[in-house]
Order: sequence, then C-alpha cells, then structure tokens
Amino acid sequence: MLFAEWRLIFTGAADGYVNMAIDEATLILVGEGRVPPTVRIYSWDTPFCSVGYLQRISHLKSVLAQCSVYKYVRRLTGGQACLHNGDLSYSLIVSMADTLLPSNVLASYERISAGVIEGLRLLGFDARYAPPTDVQIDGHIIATSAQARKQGVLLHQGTIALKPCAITNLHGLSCLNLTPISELVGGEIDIEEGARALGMGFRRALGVDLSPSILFAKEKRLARQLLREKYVRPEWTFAR
Amino acid sequence: MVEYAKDRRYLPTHEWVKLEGEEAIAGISDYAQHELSDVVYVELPEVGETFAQNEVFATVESVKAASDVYMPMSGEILAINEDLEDSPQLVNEDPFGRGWFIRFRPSKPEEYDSLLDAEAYERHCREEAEKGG
Repeated sequence: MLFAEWRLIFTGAADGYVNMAIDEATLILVGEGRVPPTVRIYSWDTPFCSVGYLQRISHLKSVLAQCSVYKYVRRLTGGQACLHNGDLSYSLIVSMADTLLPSNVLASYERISAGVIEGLRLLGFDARYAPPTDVQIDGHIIATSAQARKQGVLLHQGTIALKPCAITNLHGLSCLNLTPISELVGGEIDIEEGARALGMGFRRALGVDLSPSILFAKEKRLARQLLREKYVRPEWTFAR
Repeated sequence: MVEYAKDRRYLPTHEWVKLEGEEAIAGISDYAQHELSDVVYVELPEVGETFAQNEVFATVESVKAASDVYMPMSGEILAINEDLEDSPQLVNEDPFGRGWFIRFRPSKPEEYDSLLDAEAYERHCREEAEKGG
C-alpha cells in the first residue's frame, strides 16, 4: 500500500524502553505497509542512556545495571551512547522505497537535519548542520541523530538537548556529549512548544504534508509486546 | 566511479554473491559502500549457522547507520572474514575483494538464477540514484 500522506505523532513523555518499543513497532508496520510514513516527536520521563545497536557494553553490565541515576536501553540505530534527560527527541520512519528521502545515508541525514534546523529557527535559534549527524548552535553540538536500515525501512532517531544532564560519570562508557540549549541561551524551552516547532520544521523542510495523527491500536499492541519481550530485558540491553 | 563486477550476481538490496565450485562468497556491492560511506563496524554470523535467502545474516554500521545485510542465497556459513573485525574499512576500499563478508555452502544452487546480473543490477542502482541521492 502506498500512503500519500505522512503522519505526525506527538506521544509525549515516556521511558526509554517504551520509546524504543514504539519505534520498532512503527518500523515493522511501515515495512508491512500497514501504517503511513511517520514522524514521531516525544520526550523522556526519566533519565535514560540509549546505547547504539552494535555498541559493546556487556562488559559493564554489573555496574550499569545497578546505576541509580540512569537506566539503559539499546536502540535499533547505530552510533554511540547518548544521555536523555529532559531532551526533545524525534523519530522518522519511512520505507526506503519512498521517493521523498535520498537513499544515500549522508544526504538523508542532511535533509532530515534541515527539519530540526527549521524547527529551531522557529524557536528563535540560528542552528547549523554539522555533518554528518549533528546540529550545532554557535559551534556547540546541541542535537545528534542515528539511523537504522532494516526490513526496507529507514529509522532515523534524533534528539535535541534542552536541559543539562545530571551525570557525566558513565563508568567508562563512550557517550556523546551534547550541549543543552538552556546553557547557551540561559533559559528553558518548553517541551510542548519545542515539539510543535519541530513538527512545523519537518513539515517545511521535508516539503511533505504531515497529518496530525495518533498511534494505531495495532501499533500499540505490537509496541507493548516488544516492550515486554525485548526492550525491558537485560538480555537485549546487554546483548553485546 | 562505481564498479559493477560482472563475475557475480546481486540482490536488489546490494549484496553480491560469487560462486566458486560448490562454495560461494558474499559481501556488499561497491554501490552500497558508496551509499553507506565509511564503514566502522561489521557484525558477522558464526561459522556453522544456516540462513535462508533474503534472511538477515550480518549488520554493517557506517556513519551511524546500522544496516541489515541479506543472504543472497540459502546456505551454511563456512568462514567469515575475520580481517573486518580490525579493518572494517576494507569494505570501502575493496568491496569485491578483501572486503568480502562470508564464505558459504549454498543449499539451493538454483537460487543463483533468480539474482540480478551485473547489467540488471546497475540499472537498478541507477533507478535508485535517480530517486534522489
């Protein structure tokens, strides 16, 4: 099935296990042609550290699993660990057969990052693309992103640091260090305002009709199953 | 200049396979490594594992894209390219040679005929590139 319109979903704040489970559920259903291409914007209700799909952390399992500040979740996307504490995140999930996005990895990063930059511009920030995966303000990396290409589907996950992270000691785990926007501008950005601007930014930069929507019932069911059977399980988080 | 080696066949998802007697070797194409850019890690299967055609047998991570790699033909893994563990850049430098992924024993040799030859694969890549690269 081909969908003429893309979907824009705001799912609000949830923990890292839920957020990653939703992304995989949407990826599977986009791959099966059962839901439209999707931009989802969300936040995190507790501090989480997401680790890259292939990142090796199993040797740190005993210390990381007992960390009282951050919980750990493994993403489907590549790259390094990233802390999420009050940041605004998004996922873009689309069939690789879709003609809107370039199949080339670097070109697709640039196109999607343009949406982030446009969203930040609407909030009054002059942000720039920092190839290949980041966005910066005044030379400080404030947003990053990562991709997975699975089952003929592109999953692009990105995050924008709004507030400072409470911790820097990650027991030797290699982790991205984003500068929160609040440190650069000396004020706080409202998450909901940021989410609206980001949605508008994607709409403009991608040149696509993003219809406000919600998660479908089949998507929620699949996400719950993936949450239970995969994302909350240490066997997945510490698989590598 | 992208190379399309003529002595092997391809999946539309950019894996190649080359027959060598009753065995075969496989990897990803020159076009694929160009699209992915710098490969930083390759996760390979274990010797003895079996996979069906089009089943995911490896994951390749480039500039932060973790991508599935699909089995071009059904078969049992006989060897993996251990050099990729320390030198994943071989996939970029020599995708049809030293950047090979696996050697395997095809269990359904007839599947080879269903794959794209170099000419058809090149056409497929050009169409994909026109989509917007």
